[in-house]
Amino acid sequence: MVNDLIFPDILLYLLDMVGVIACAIAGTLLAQHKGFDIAGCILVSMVNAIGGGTLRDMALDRHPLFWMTDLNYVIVITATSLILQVFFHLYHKIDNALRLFDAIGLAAFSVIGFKVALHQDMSPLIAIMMGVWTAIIGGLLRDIICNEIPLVLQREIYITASIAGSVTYLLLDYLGLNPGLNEFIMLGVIFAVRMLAVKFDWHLPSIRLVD
Amino acid sequence: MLNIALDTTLITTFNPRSLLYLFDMIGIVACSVSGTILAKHKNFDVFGCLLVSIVTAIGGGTVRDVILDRHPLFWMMDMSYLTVITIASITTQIFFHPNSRRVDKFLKLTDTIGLSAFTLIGIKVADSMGANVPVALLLGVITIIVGGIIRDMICNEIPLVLQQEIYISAALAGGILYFALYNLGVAVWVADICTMSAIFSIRMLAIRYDWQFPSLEWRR
Repeated sequence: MVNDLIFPDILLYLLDMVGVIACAIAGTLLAQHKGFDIAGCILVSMVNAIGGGTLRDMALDRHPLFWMTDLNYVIVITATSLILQVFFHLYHKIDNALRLFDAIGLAAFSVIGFKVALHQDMSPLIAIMMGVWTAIIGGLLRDIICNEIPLVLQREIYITASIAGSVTYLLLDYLGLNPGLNEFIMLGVIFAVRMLAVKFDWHLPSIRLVD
Repeated sequence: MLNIALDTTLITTFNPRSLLYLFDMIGIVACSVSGTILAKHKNFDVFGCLLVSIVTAIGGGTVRDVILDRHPLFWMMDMSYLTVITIASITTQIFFHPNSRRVDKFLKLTDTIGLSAFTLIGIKVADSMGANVPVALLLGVITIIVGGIIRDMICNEIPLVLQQEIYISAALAGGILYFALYNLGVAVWVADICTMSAIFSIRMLAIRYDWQFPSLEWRR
């Protein structure tokens, strides 16, 4: 049980919850800016937090959906959204914290999506894609509902961070590293790449040939 | 029943050497090129463009398969879909020019080939899963338009495919022709080719002569 000692699933679950909270906060903030009502804000935050995982599970035919068996997700999202709506006027102070939470969420969601796809015996390419899906589809749906151009597709190092983490995992796995430790490294890589990209304003170069 | 007889032959594969598969791939290329171009106009980054093109190309088939509960999804079994999309998208990004209209003609042709192939595949898949005729037609339409609709929603545009009227109509006409021929006892491959060429020519003529449906609005 070395796996459990190094990287118990409970830690991944906690990080997942942190990511869910971050997504709920982001969804509520945008919905508030658009002038949605209480239920509308909660709905947008739900879509933002569990939309990616839901679409992943539907694509992989993995039923029942995770948030239908584990009610913690819905409860946490609703509570977060309600609390934030009460204290909406303080929102400018949580901007930095939000970015931190968001990076944690990105890392946790990617790892979970990646692992789930591998558990379903999918090929590594599909697993990478499912990690990306889980991480970004929620934000994508939120922006579609709120009629914005999706942030996650423009903000440069977002999908890239998720892919970098997955590729690291596959490489280390190929070299025979213990899966528990490997997950931890993958989490760290995604989080670090995302935070460094925010800090130093990294961008992917455009691959256009002609100007 | 006919459906059961079809099951084994149609459900899992379209023979990679078949014409239908080739046309399918041409449609996939068209979708990913159009997705990438729109995404580039919105200033998405490399992977953003790739994601949009993937969604455009396989979104319709995925939604159809999820509705029909047909798992595992076709692009998870056959890696050539993702490979072709990735290559097409990356190539488009490299040679992208914001003002160029050079790809327009290419896109119109390939998109129409894709339209005919996607419709036929959607109808056949729905039919082999035991859907009745109207549902099979609906799923054929879903296969062709959902990818484009999601693309336009992501890029914050009003869906183009819902405005070009002869797009869905061509697919419907082809689908009805397919079932008519099928029930007349025509060989499957003849019905396939007739359907695809009917859809192709209706759509091409609609583009060429700018056909539009009259509005249904009642005027005095």
